[in-house]
Amino acid sequence: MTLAREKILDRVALAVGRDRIDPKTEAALTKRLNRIPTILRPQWDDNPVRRFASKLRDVAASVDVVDSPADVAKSVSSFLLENDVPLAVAMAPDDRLNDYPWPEYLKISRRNVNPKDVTAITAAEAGVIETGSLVLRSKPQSPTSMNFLPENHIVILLQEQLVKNLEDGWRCALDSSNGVPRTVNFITGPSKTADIEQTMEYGAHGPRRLHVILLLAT
Amino acid sequence: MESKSHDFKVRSGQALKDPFLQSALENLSLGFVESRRKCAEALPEFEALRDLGKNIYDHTLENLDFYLRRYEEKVIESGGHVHWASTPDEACRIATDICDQAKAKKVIRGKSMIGEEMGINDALDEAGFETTETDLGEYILQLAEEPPSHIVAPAIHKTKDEISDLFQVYHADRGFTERQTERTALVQEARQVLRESFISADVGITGANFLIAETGSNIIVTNEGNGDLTCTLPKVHIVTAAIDKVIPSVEDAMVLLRLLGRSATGQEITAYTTFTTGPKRAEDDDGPEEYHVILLDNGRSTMLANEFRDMLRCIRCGACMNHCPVYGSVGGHAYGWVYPGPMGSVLTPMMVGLDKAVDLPNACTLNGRCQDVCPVRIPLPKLLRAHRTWQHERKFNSSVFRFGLGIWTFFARHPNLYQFCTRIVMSVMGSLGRRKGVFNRMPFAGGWTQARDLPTPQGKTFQAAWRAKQREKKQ
Ligand code: SF4
Repeated sequence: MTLAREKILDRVALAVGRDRIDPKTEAALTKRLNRIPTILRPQWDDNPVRRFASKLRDVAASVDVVDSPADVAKSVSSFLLENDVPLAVAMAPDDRLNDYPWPEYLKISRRNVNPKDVTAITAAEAGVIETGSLVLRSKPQSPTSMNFLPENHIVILLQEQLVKNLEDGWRCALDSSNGVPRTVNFITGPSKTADIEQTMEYGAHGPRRLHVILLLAT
Repeated sequence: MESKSHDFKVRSGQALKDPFLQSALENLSLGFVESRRKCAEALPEFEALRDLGKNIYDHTLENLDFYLRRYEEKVIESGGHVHWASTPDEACRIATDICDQAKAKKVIRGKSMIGEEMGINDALDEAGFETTETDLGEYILQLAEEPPSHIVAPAIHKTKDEISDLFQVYHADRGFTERQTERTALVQEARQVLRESFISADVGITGANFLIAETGSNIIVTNEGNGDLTCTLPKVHIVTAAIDKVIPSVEDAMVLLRLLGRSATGQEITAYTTFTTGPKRAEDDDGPEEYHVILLDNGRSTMLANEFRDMLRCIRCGACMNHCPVYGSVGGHAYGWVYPGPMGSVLTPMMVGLDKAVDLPNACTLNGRCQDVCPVRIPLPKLLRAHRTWQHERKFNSSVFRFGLGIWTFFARHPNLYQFCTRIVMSVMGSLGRRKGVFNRMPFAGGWTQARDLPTPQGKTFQAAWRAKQREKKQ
């Protein structure tokens, strides 16, 4: 297959009209890769929290904007009760989720999900105001399966984690020491499909419900 | 997938007589077209983003040698493997070899057009792997043993009843004996059946919407989340992608993502947009241990060198087919191969052979709506015209057509003779059809007069009328 590689690269080189890339071009192209370009991005002037929440609600996520850690815990309980879901959750082993006054009746397992878990709770890296997207990244404290296997996905986010555009969201997912993680998810609403007669149904393969709790800064 | 593109006329005739297909196509054009329009209007930057998207691709294609090499380096750096394939067969062999080496039994797939282009399902079946499509639409088609009819909504031609029947037959041995008729129940049943496939699969194969040279990442967008389960749960993840999927950087990707969702389904962004880079990290709790990318050429490096380079900007959004009156009448199966609609009529002849898809570039009214909505401004009508010219030069079009065109060429070169003859024909037709004002039968034009009347010429020829008008003006 190395043969195929050489053949393809030769054909491509021929098509773009050069045998090899001269150092000057190489340097210019590398520079283009490394720049942070000030290119066109969507702009708006609504209130950031309101816009973020309404973008998510537009795509059938439920959003609670709360102003205390106690309310975060309350929001979880009422979400589970309202949807008649067992009061047992798999919670990401992420320290950021430690400091909430979780009620005693909530059975919490601090680990990755298994196929039997109905609900997962994770912490996001960022929320993108542009689109209402949650940014999650793979790491031991936040395994990717948690975002896709269970029926219900609850994501907790702080107001100071809101960023403007998708590009900013990507940057929040990078790890200064390890660089790019295996997986970066931009999640915008629950799983859905319109594959049967072009009509929307939720919970195709991923979570049927996405519940976002946004804790305002005090 | 074997091409049936030479059959376009027969297949489109059948499609026109299928009432469900006709109503599905009408819904499609109402739904996708409307939501795209609203979504595009809601973003003031949309037109500027289209220009930017086009420029990003033009730049990338001009320097594709650099970006391919850089991409490969970065994938290897992140612990993945890159394999190159000139043809679909080579690509399939690489994929089955990887599955063999992983001692895999079960393979799951996330929907990708490149997989269809490769014919990967057949290759995996032949090699003895149990393969399951996980995108709901593709899964339905796998059970029905049919190809997709739209690149974004593959199963739009299937009725709910047909799906109920399929599930009843194929899910019985999984314990689902009751025939479900409600949409929600059908989706839930498929979810449960496919869940087992996800959990027991050894290899997951996805496509990629984009490959990023800066980081060695691939991007997958879905609404169902099937792509994410496919690349997270099995121990091996294979990405299949064409060489024209490479773009420079994450910044560039974001521009194209803003165009993709809006143009495809009228969504600002799909439910899941996922960047995947290499295999799982040592400390991670889940994710695949192996990450492979198969880069397929299949004629693209040839297109890069000729007038079809513009086509390599395509981001597979499907807007051109959603807005195409021909696609809207005959649906995707009439086109006979993987890619339907305007983009398919340009790509198919390049990939299956110019002589095997002669009708496709001609099944176009050159109304230009596809080009108007194409997010990366591909001049589809121009490319279709280029195909027609090629066909004519290589004598691929029918002898009747060439004969007719020959007569026309002769007259076009002899304007006086042309005017003389049209005057005679007009006055004969005028006196024959004067009473009714229309002809409902006309020799050599049965196909036209079957469904429409041909009006009787009224008055003079256009050229005579034009001359008279010019004279009047001068006076
Ligand atoms: S040709 Fe343009 S409109 Fe058609 S699928 Fe490709 S990008 Fe979309």
